[in-house]
Amino acid sequence: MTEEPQVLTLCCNWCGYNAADQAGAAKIPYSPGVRIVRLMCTGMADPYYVLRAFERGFDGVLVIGCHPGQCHYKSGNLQAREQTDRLLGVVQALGIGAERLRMDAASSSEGPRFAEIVNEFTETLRKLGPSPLKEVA
Amino acid sequence: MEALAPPAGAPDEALRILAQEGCIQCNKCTMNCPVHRVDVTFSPRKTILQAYLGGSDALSERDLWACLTCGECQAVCATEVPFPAFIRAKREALRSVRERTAPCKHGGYKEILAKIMAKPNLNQDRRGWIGDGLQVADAGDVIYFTGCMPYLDGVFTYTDTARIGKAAIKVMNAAGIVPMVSNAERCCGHDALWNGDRETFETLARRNVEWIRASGAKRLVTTCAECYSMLKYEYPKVVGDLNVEVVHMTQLIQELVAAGKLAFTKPVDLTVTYQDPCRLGRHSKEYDAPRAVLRAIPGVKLVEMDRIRENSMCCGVGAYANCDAQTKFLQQERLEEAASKAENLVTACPHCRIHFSCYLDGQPVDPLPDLKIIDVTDLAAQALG
Amino acid sequence: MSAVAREQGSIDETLAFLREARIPHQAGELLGYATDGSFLTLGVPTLVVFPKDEAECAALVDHAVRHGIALVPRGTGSGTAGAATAPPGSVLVDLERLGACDARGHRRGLFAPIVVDARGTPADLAKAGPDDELYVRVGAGRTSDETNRALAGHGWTVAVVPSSGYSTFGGNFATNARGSGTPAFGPFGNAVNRLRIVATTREGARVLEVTDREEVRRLAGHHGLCGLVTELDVRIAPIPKPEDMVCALLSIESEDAGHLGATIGGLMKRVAAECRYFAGEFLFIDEGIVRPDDPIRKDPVLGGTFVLPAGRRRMILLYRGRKEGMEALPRIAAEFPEVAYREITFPQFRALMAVRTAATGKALRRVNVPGAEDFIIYDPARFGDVLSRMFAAVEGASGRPVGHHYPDGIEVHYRPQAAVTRADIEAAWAMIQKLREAVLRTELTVEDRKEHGLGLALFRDGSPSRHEELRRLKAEYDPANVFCPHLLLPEIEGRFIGSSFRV
Repeated sequence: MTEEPQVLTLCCNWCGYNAADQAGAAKIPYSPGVRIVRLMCTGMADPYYVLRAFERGFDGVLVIGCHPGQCHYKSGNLQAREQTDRLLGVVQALGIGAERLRMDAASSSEGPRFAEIVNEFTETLRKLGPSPLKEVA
Repeated sequence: MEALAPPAGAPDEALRILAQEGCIQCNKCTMNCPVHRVDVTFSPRKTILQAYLGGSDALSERDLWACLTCGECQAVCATEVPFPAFIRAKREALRSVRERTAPCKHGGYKEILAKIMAKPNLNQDRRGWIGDGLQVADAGDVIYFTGCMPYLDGVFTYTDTARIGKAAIKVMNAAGIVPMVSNAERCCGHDALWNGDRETFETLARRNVEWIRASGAKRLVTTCAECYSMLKYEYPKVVGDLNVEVVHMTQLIQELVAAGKLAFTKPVDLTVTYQDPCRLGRHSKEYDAPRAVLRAIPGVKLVEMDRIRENSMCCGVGAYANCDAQTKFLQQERLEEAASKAENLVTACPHCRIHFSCYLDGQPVDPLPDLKIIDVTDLAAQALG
Repeated sequence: MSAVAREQGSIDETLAFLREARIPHQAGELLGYATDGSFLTLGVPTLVVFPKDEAECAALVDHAVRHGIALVPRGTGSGTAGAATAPPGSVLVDLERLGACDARGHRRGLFAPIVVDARGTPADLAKAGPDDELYVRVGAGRTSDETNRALAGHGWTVAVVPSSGYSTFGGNFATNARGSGTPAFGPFGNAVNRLRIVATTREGARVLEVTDREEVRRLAGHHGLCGLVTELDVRIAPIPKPEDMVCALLSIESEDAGHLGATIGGLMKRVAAECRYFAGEFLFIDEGIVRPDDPIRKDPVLGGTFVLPAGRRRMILLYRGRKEGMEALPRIAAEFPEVAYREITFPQFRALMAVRTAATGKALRRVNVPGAEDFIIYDPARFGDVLSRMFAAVEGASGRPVGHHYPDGIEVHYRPQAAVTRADIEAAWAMIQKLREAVLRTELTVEDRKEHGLGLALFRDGSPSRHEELRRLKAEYDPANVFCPHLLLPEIEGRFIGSSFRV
């Protein structure tokens, strides 16, 4: 049996996290390899968090915030988008692969969408295989 | 009343470094320390006496990280007390005790990059930034060591740092050099070393030296003052001879121009002043090559600031360990000095450029005339036509 | 209330006052303030305060008078006599920021000094003539290095520059320092035209402006006993054109230090009588004076100066002055067959001056042990006798005498060097005492002048007339007796820091 891809999911307090919560409450299944960290806003998804996750051996990092225009702090999600786009180049150059970092949005009521995003992302990661930074036993 | 009771125990490594050269308590270091100017309680002299009397643990953690390690104290010291080396040793010692490295600014970005690059199975693609029209190779006599430059634009939005790399390749190509840019390259480890993480530094050094030696190259060129000081002076202490000659881009340009292999044909009509980066200047004693490059470019008028060479004032941040409100006052002071001499401040270290640009990108604490921060290599590339 | 509780009470009050007045200060672990440039200590002060201007000084002094707190002013530089050591219970007032900060309280490394004439009227340096009597109006926390950097573009310099150019003007005045320019302008106090000082009454602080030249001279060398000097008008002078200047290197070599001293002493006597010079310096050369890798050893002209056959001693003498005042020098030198005379360039002169300045501080892995290194020999004819005794006393030690030739005598500095260990430092300290006994003798016309401050040795070495003078001055300026009261107690004796040195 192969291990589930390990995914760090950075969720904002207002949308992403509530969506995850709703998915849980509605008992919508999603990959057990997903670890959720709640941030007040994806705008504070610091590059350090993303890179640290890869350094620690996570196979992918997912940033889930509010839909554009819906940010609780007006533009945090847009800043996160900008920062994540820039980081894609960094992650690619480091040889981790840009496919392992993704940003998406789910409103607080979109539990099913949350599950769909993480499942789809996990599937991508499964195809990619383990992160090159993962320590081999 | 025994106020000065000596603590027990043998002197530690940091104290041994400090006592190597005796401090005469003249306070010249403190009078020249940029941090002291904005925070009077930070004083190298005080720290040294404290260590002599109470052991190196008497140093507060705040003072430990407030030091910019710019080395102006040591440069003016009559007895050349190696204060930055003491700070470095102390940071190293602290790390093993408290599992803590620098309060790295920019959210630890550079620290984590170094840690990732210290990993064994890395399959980097370090050439994405190069773009068309520039020639690099997988092997050759000259290595262009790009350092963390390809990664800096991932967070520093106010400087196009890759510009320096492109300029370097353009200049080398113009002189008939097709430099090797290796995907095997790792971070030089400068910040790790200066922030007390020797383990990461040594790992990076070993991984770098492996491919450098295997490359068969004769020379290694850096555009970064930090990479230069690491590869030239710190690597040999850890991994022995690198089997290549390490040169800074400005030294290479100076040499190419002198040998007639490179000619600047297009005038660059700018008045500039030059910021000596601490790692190239005080740490590596290279003051003349960047100035020679500036003099070789037609149209460039170099007006020196009052504090230059060994007395040059720091850009305000050392190894990304320190940046706070006080840093901003230092940067204001230095940029005012620069702006009083020229409209362009040229430096030879991408990090000086980042720190000053960061300051200009924000709200200056006092009004400041327009000032552009340019890398010397960039200026050289502009003069190629 | 117990004495301890009372002391704690006054500390708390002072801390509250400083916080209220927003004056930077530090309390707690103050080991780093246990000594000044002297390695002498009385323990650690209770508080260190860093006032930035006269208003803060006045508020601090007012508070000190009202609460009976002792203040110990300290500048920066080579005060090597313990004058600025603060005993426990006292408040150390660090004055290096004084008049050198912007409105936010940050020191600026660059500044544009105000230039005034002898009457205090602002003057324009760009229009000044070489013979104008001009001064810079500077804060006591400014240094001659900083000021000279600002003046250099105009071709002017501070008239009297002590070899520690990073020392504060306040400190230069407190010790009445001498240095380059002294042969022409006298000690630092003579180069000050006006000053402001925060002194006391029995009730509180008072700010005084002293414009009378005689009174300024009386105050020069006050050792911090009279108040906090906040601002001074310091004499500046035009830098002579290189073509008007002459720099000379005189060298003599022998196995016998006494012989060297006697010869050079005779020569100095002639020079003092027949030449006018800005700077006269001497140093003994031995293998340890510059490091093996010092670039000066490779200098084609100066390098040979540092190569010496075993067992020989070399003494070099450096003079710098205007050509018109120095015509007699080559002729005088020619009268001494053993003395080699050579004109050198100003950069070469500066390189050798740097060696002289650092000569007591450049040995590897060594710390200087100061405390008694200023001897003035009034009669140059006795220079040989003094040096033979000196070398006998310090036989085998790694230090060396260096010094200045002033028109009124020869100032000799000797700092023993010690590894940074308790045992080594104590041995060096013992040697200083031996040295003092050997040379401080009336028949040799030697006096301990403490060019670097009289400090803790005020009562041991100062003359009774000097004590009396200082007491009178203090009574006039500081009737509340808040400034360095401990210095006036005959029993005060600096504990050498080696008694608890750790390294």
